[in-house]
Amino acid sequence: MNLVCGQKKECKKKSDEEIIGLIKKNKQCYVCLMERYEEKIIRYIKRISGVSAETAEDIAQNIFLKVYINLNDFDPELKFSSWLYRIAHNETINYWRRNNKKAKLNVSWDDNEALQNIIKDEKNIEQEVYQKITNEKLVKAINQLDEKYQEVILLNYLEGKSYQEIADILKKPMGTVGTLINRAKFKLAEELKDLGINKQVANK
Amino acid sequence: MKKNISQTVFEKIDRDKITIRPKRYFVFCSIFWLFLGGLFFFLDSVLLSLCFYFSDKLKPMWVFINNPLALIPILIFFFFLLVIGSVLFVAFLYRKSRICCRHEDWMLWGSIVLGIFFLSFFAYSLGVFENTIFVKKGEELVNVKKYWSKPSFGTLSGKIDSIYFESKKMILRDWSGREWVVQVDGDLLRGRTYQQGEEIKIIGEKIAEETFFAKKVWSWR
Repeated sequence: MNLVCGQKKECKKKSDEEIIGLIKKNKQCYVCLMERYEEKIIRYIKRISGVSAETAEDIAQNIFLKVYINLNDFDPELKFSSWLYRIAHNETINYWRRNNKKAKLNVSWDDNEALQNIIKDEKNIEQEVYQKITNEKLVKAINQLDEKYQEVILLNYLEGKSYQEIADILKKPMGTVGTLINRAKFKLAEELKDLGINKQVANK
Repeated sequence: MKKNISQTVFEKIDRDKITIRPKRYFVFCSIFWLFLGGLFFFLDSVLLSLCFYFSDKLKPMWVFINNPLALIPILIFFFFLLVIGSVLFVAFLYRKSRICCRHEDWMLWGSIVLGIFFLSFFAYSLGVFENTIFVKKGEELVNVKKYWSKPSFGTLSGKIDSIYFESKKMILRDWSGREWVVQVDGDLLRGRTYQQGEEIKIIGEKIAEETFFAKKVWSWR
């Protein structure tokens, strides 16, 4: 049935945009795209909403269905992942609205490396001291930030998105995203100071 | 063994025969939303223009009547309409601005709002909407004549029946056909000419039953 998308190896070679072109001819190719993003999307949902794994999977299923139905609405000028994250973001917020709950950022504890990227210093001498910062304190500091700052910190550091991608996901101008990230870093540094960690939040 | 999400979603797509929406669906949607946006833009401009128009009609009252607070209901009506229109327009922009630009662009939004303001101001200045259904319906809704026909409140309006320059009086027939003796300040009579049959609006004071003292007089139009 499927000559192009049947093999995982074939999938890996192709870009998102190429796969989208193939999906229109053969819907099975959509599996390739979903497999590529499902873990990331579930993790993202959990991070921005703090829902259980099962709920995150349910939301992710809706997201992938929505993406499939609206595939022709995808703007090729955007990165597919930005569009997907945008839908994921909206769907997750909608889920919380439907359930009358306020979305709460939930930085998961398996993000050691990403979390450590948030805090670093230009001076090597102090690096050792900085590494002693526990994730617990950092997560606490992030959770004390405003939601708008949490969002950009999460996307920038934990999801590794560029300013342009964040702008596309949050539908905000790039300048605004830059300002939000800078303010978020500043506020995070203040929060860390309050928590007894005299750190400088690095420019990424 | 637990299925992964991609398998589950694909099975659902296959089982329920879910298809990708055709491109023309999104083209039609975009056209629809742009049309709706244009419509809101036009209606908001008309509405703001009417606000200018009716505010101008009622302007003398703000300054001269004894109790300007009594005008609050009518002002609230204006603002209510304008706020509703603006909220709808902004909601449209918020939801569908992606059609026009890639991001929520405050510069674009600001330009559109300023555009509405200037367009409506020019439309009002040029009298574009006067003698149109918008003004006629607006007058019915706002009932400007009603606001200018509250003698106890300090306003009176209607058509001049006759003028007596010697006794500084005029007989005014209000919109309901009731006759009023209007005592006019001598300075007012010297300042301009009045004609029989002219429609006027007056700010003043009710001094007796069907007798009114005029402090300021304007032509109705």
